[in-house]
Amino acid sequence: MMYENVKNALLEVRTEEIPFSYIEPALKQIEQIASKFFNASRLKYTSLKTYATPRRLVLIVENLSGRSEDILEEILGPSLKAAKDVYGKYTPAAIGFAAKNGTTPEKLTEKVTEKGEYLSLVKKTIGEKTEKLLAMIFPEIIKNISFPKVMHWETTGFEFARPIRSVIALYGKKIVKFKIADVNSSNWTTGLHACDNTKIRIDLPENYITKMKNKSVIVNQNERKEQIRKSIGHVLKNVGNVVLDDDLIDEVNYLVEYPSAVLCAFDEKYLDLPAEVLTVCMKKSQKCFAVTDKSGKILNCFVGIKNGISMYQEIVKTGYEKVVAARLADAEFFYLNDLKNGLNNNVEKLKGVTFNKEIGTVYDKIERIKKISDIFNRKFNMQINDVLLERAIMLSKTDLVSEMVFEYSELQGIMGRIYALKLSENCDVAESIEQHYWPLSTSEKLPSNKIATVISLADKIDTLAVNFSIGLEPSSSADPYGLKRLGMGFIRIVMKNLPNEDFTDTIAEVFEFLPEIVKKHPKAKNAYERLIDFLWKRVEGVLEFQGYSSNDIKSVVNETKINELKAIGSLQPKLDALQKAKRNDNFASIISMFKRVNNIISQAKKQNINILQINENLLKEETEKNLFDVSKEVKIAVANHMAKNEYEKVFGKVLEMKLVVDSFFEEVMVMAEDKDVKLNRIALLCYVKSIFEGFIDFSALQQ
Amino acid sequence: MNFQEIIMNLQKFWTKQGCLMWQPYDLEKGAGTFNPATFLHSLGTKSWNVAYVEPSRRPTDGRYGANPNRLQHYYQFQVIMKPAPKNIQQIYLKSLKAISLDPKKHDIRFIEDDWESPTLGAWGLGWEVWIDGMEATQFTYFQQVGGISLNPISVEITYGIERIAMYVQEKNSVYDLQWNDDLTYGDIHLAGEKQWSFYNFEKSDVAMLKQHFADWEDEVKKLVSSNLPLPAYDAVVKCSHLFNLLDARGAISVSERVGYILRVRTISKIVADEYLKSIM
Repeated sequence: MMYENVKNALLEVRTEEIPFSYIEPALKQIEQIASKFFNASRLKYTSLKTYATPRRLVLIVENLSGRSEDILEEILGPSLKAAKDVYGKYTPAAIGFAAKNGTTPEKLTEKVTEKGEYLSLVKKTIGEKTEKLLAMIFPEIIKNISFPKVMHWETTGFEFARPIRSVIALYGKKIVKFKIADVNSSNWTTGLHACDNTKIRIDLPENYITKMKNKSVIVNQNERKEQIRKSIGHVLKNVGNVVLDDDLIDEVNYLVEYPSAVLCAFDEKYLDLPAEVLTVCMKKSQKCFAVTDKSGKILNCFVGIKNGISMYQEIVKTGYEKVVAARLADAEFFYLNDLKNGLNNNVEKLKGVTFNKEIGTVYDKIERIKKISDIFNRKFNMQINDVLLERAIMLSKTDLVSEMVFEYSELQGIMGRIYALKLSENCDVAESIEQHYWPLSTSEKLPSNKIATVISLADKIDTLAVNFSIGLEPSSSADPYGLKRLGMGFIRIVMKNLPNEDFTDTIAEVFEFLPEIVKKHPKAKNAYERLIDFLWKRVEGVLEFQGYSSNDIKSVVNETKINELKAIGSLQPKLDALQKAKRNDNFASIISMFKRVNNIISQAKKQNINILQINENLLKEETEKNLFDVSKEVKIAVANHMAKNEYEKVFGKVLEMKLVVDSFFEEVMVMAEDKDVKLNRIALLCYVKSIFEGFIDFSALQQ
Repeated sequence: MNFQEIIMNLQKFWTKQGCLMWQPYDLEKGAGTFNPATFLHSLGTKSWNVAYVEPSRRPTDGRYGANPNRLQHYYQFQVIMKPAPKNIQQIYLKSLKAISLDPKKHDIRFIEDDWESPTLGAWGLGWEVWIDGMEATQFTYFQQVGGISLNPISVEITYGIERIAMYVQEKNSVYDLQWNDDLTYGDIHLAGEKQWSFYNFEKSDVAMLKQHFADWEDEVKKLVSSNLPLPAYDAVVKCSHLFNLLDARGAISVSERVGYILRVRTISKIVADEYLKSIM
């Protein structure tokens, strides 16, 4: 499509530093709001582009048409019969309609429609000048961006993440004039903080990015990110590799307008600290990147990203090094203190750490984990050495009261593992201090050894039971305590390690271990049932994450649920068999066959027809006799296959059944006149249905 | 540049920006924000530009003089401008030049840091300013004080002057700072840090502090009903410090803590309301 007089448009909102986490969401909103307003105003363009630095939110609209499109719209008035009297003169109805649309009846046309003849009017709304529309749209875009927290800073009461200090609004070379938050739109901005406050004038939208780059501001966030990588690569040439941390790069990217890397060093003696500690210190204290040699061993240097071009790097380097040295000195102090203190002493301290302010301490929790793990170990024959298990449980939370984790909470578990190994604990015990928190998210690793696995299960199910008992379970939209993540983790571990165990009784026992205050909580009623329900939803969630469709999942879950939390392990093989079966051409007709069977049964139930046992003497026709015989055989076969988890073979039997059921429906009237015969046939269909109970709920599948 | 020159240069700089050179307020307090020149004067519509040094006491931060960075008594250099000038960030950057930190030669960052004082019923949005990675200044646009939404908005700039001095003088311990050319920060304050840490953590009389807290809390209510918000505010500041002392002594349990904070917040709110009435 060709547009006339197209020009580019530019909006730059220059602010004081916006928190980095607000920026990406703001850019998404700008794009959405802009396209909504442009569409509503019938303005055409070829593309919308959004950019940001910590101090600028930018929208560039390419090839924006000079006017909004005209619209022609036909309005039907009164019918001709009503519009003219017997003398052919216009009635008040016609005059009124014309007047309402700013014209006279003579100027209207007559239009033949399916319903008859009507007066009609073609109304033309002429497009407006883009400049005029932008003067309304640009402020709307700014006003409609929402941020997690907003502030006031001037007297009009405008709200934004941080103060707005200038606004460029251009259409071609013309300024789109408006005022927002006490700022008049203009064609100028300013550069880096450090470079005084001289105005940078922008003549045309298309020159903005380049002009800003010449003034040491990289507006395009992707280009800036690339510059960070390049700059790091440059200073690290022949030195080593940076420890790439995407989150940190993303954060740093929105903390600077022109990144330049500074290579710094720290005293070699700190290399005695664990690499995890060094990395976190540099990341948290300075948003700096750790460096390793080719083999991945951490080096005594780091890279900081400075805001501004490569000048005075030596001064900045000294500053960075000083701050990092102070942090590392602190970390070393914590590390040595923690090691001197050992982990055993921390167990007692956990009596002073609240797990939940009403419920009790972390120490109490450990006692419960012990009991629960014990049950798992015995009941599911996990064959874990009791002594090691108890040791691991006792140490599992001890790093929470270490000085290092108090300072850097993200090292929870990790420090426990490191300290335990240093203090010559058993390797599995040490690992389980870290791994009992796993999986950290839906896609992350599961615990790798048995001790960690059982503690992880016990810890999670205990936390869930407590929270469900005191009414802190998540809603569909809010999950402030991260319980869904815990639930998913629990289910993933069960699916992988104990797929064929019945957890129902065990979970009931977990509730027994809770402190009295929890058991007596007013919300404790039905907590067990709610938790089981919740866990089933997590089962569906985990399967969905693995890529199965929600209908397929429902069809297997519906039938398995009867057995409570047993046999979670059968779901995936059933689903895989189902995927294969669905490729069979007859599959759709299988679903419709089951639908038909179900309909007949539920109709009968609705009419309160009592479905009796099958009376073989009443089976008259050959096909129904055959159906019964085949069903009996298939039922035994299916039960055998199910017991051996041979689900593909079960589907084979489904196909077999289909043939006989089809001919039954073809040749036999279920709703026979003889009431007994009818009831017997319904009973026969119930029998057919019962064959696949506990396998798949065909009614949940889509045709 | 010695410690007192840093202070003098900041005073000179902010005087030129039209700030009144206020003096430290003669009560113990946790931060310059408690000075009535900030808490009370940020209320109301009248413009107000002020700067001052504030000795600040944080009993829990004491380390018996053994930690090179942590002090239970230190200094803040505080600036309040109401309404906040449009170019306040630029003015601030210029002020750094006055204390020999040329923004062109250093990496200056504004890192998100929202400020909240639960006891003062106050909050604001802003940043921690990093100079080459060092946290040098707290920069906040006040939104509420004493639970009252502000209009116009004040900006508060709080320089951590010991830290800045350590950076400028290249010292690794606060006690090694040159206060003037003859005396160090340690000469002036080390003995105090030791003794006060001892007092704050081990010797303060808990029963007496609790009694004083209750007495001054009552006093606030009496003074407010006598329409004397200025003396009433002093009583609030006293309560706040008494709470800090009790906290340092470990005399307040977790659940009690919430109660104490609420009590201070309540009295600061009634004083803020009364003060606002008095200036209308």
